[in-house]
Amino acid sequence: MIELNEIDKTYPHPVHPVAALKGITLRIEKGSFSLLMGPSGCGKSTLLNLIGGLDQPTSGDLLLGGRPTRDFSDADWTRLRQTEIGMIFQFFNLLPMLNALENVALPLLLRGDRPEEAKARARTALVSVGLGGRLDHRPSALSGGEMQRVAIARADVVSPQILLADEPTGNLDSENGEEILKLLSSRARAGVTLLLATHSPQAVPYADQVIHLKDGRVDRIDRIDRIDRTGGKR
Amino acid sequence: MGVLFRWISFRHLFREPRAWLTLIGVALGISVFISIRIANQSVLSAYRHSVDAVAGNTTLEVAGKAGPFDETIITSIREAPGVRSVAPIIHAALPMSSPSSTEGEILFLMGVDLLQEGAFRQYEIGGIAPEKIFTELMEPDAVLLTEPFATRHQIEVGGTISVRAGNRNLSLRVVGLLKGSGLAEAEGGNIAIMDIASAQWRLDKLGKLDRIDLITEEGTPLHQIMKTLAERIGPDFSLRRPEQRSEQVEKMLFAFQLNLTALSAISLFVGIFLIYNTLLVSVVHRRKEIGILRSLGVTRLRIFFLFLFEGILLGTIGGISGVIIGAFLARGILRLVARTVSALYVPIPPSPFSLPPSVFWEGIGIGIIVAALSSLFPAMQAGQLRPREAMEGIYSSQQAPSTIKFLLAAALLGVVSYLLSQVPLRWNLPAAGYLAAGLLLITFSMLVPPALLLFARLIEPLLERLPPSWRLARGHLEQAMRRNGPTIAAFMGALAMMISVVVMIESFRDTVVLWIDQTIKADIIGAPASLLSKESEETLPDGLISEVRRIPGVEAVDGYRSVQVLFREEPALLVGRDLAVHAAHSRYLFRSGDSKEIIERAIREGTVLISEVFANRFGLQEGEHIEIPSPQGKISLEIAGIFYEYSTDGGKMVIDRSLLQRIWKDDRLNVVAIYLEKGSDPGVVRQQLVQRWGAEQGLTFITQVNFKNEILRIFDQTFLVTYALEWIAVVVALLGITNTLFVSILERQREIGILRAIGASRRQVVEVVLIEAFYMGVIGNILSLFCALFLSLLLIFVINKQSFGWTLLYHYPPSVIVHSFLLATLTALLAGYFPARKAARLAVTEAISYE
Repeated sequence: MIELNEIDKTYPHPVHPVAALKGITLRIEKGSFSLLMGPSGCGKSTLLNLIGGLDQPTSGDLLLGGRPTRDFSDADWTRLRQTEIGMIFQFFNLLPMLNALENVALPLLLRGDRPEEAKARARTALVSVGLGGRLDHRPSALSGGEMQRVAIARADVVSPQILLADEPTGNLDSENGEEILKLLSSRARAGVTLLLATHSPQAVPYADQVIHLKDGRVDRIDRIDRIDRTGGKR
Repeated sequence: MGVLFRWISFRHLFREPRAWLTLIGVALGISVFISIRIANQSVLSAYRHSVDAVAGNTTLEVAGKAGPFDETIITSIREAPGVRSVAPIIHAALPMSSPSSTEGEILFLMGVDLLQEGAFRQYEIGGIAPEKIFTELMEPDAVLLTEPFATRHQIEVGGTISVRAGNRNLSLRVVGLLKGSGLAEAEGGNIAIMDIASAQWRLDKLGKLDRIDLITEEGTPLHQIMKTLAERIGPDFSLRRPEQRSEQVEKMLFAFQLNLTALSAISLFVGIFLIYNTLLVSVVHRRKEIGILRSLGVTRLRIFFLFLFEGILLGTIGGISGVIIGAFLARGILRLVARTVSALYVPIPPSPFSLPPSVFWEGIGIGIIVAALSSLFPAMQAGQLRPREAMEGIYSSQQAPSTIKFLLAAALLGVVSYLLSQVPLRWNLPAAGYLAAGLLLITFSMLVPPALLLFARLIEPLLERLPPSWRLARGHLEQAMRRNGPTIAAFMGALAMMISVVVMIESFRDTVVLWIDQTIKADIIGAPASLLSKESEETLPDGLISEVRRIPGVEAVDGYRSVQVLFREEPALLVGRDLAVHAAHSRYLFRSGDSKEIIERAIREGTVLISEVFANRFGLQEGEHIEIPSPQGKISLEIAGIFYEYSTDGGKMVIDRSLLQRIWKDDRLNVVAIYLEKGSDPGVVRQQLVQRWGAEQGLTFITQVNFKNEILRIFDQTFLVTYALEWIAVVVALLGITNTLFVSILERQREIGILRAIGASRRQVVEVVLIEAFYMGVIGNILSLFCALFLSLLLIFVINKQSFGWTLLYHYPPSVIVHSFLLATLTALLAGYFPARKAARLAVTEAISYE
């Protein structure tokens, strides 16, 4: 479970400090699929970055699985990203000099897994996203949809408890976007807590709740019951 | 254009740390070049100034080709048409024996005819009443010293100063002090003026003169006067303008100074790569900006000039800073250069530091030229970018040339370099050799991209078992070939030049060691303490040789006498030694033939032996006859053999001492080589020699081991400046790597962010950057070792041979490989340290959002 209590995030500036998040209080249940929606600049990415430990809140408390993170060191966050948190980005952010298999195996290798083991798991992860035939392709030889699937496999390969995805379909056509959403929701069904920032209403049918952000605050939360979700389009 | 330059170039240039690193590198490169220029010029101008001060109003000088000459010739010269005044001169370089003098300090004594001097030189004398000058100075042993010299040695008028003249101590009485400019500034102030009669007497030159100074009539053309005078004095005398002495020294130092200049150009060469790389990276980095500018209507030409001006601005500021740093650096280098020149060529008076304004403009000029040259290609690349592609970050128009093209270019350049190395020396300038060396460096620079790819491929399987940082760094290396290529090339170039110079010095040293071992067989060498000072005219006490022979344990003594002669109008050293003793106990390393046989023939037939350098200098061969000027006119001697010799720069001629005694009427000796009987203890014999002649006569006796060590000590000292220049080039290359890695971090912010986002720790990010630096160091090192192999062959067998005439044995010490690997690795890691720290500290969210 992810808990946020009165989270503020202000980016310092000598004249005009920017308040990106203001008093965010949220509970995101374990194994749920939540969407973060709202206009550009409302704080969606900032919120994901805070949960992923890429940035620290100015004030407020963030609890992951009941553990307060206030005193987490950089090394603690690194360890969390190696084992519990996976991240997916709009621009895929694959490393261009590594092939698909290497890109996916990298997080495992970074945390010290044995190369054979890491590669075997990476292969399984890629097969599970339908890229078993693209293992040795470099990012430049993959389509947008394929690259995002590699990115999902890379995030998923560490068996995270939390998956954070920032506009994962923003750079894809609707068909590929749909594929990616299906793939992500399957992770949520497998018990992973999924938090997805998006502009796209295409994602809503897959989610348990939609958190609407506006000017750095939670504007409203729409809960979607499972019948609606499984029923397809609302 | 102005707006573009102000708004864009300026903002880019001075907000980025790499521009500053480039500036420091370029400034250092230029400063080294400039400091060598200043040091070289200062040494020459000190010599020239000294010659001018001694010459005064003299328009012509007459000297004997075989040394001191009979003074009676002066009458005939005085009566020659066009000659207005004549001044006889005696001169000698006397080692000081006063305790206050620094080791090896020389006082130049000039004996003059006071009655004639007024027309020739400017005398401003203090410490004595004007009316007393003549009478006081006519007294035996009375001298005038310069005021700075007297102050330095705390001598007052009325005091005395001790010097060694010939083989005895001479106590000179100071009767007045030379002040102001003119003669007082000659020889850096180390000059003493004496009455000519006293000088002739005290220096054993009664009835002799060393030189006659002339002032000619202004109305008659000088060449006409020279023609008549030459006929009148005959072939045994040389006639020249005083400036010709400076010209001769300039000529003598030409190869040495050119060599230093070439060495100092190494840093400049590395600096060129720095600017080239900075701008090339800038073009890649700013392609979006270029696209926007082009879409706003900025023409290709303007984009080209924008980048060219950026380069030139870097060069100009680098040039100005370089001159300032160079001026400081030059003080240290001047001391080293002056010491080397004094040890190897001519005594250089303490050289005042002169900073001619032209040097300032030269520095800026070099900066601009270097910058313009190195920014030309990146500027062209910038100009060629297509706006849409540039904005979208497509590289189509600036794809790196293929590996095959690089290999072909390298092969072509390599062949041209080889052909150039075969071109013989022209106009005394090994230009083709230097050009071949430059091309060789470019050849190996062309090999960097293929080598980089090969390296990346070869190490791939090795990295399987290593932590992922090794693979990531390898990927970066390959991916950023365009950026890493020039940096590795610059680093490779600096290292290759350093290694090749080390190989040359080591080969030289090994050759000298071998030569010493094979030819210096005497157990003890005896000489005046000033043995190692150039131009010291000190000789050994009369009768020393026979006394030494009587010492128990001494088997044989070889007496050695050297005289300066003018051979083919150039100063040359003629040595007379006891060749029979030499043949029996020691040897010469002849180019061909047996040492003993050749030496015995030289004794029997009265032929001459010449050193290899001497033969190369004058283009002489075995069997040729040469004419050597002597007091009895020119003597013609056959060259019996040419031997390897490394103790003198200009080489020497050797004849049997009996021949020298007969023709030069000279029984004196400069050095004795003492051979001991088997079983005798050199320490014990040396002790006896020191007791007999050491303290009282100021003689030094060195055992063979110490003598060899002393030669090597001087050798090592001579190359100090070379090493200093080399280190600076490596520092500049280090800046290059740091620069590239900083850029690399900047360009890969997003990548580093991703790494951190997917679980890489700060330490792992540091590792990736450091390992990339390490790879760059390794590739640079491997290539540099191969490049240095060829470069050192060129240095030893082409450039050095053509410049100095020495044959050296080639020796590429294996330790160089280990040392250069350590140096390259440490340098690369040091260069990567700060960029790596910067990378680890990047804010992940900013890095990810970076484009």
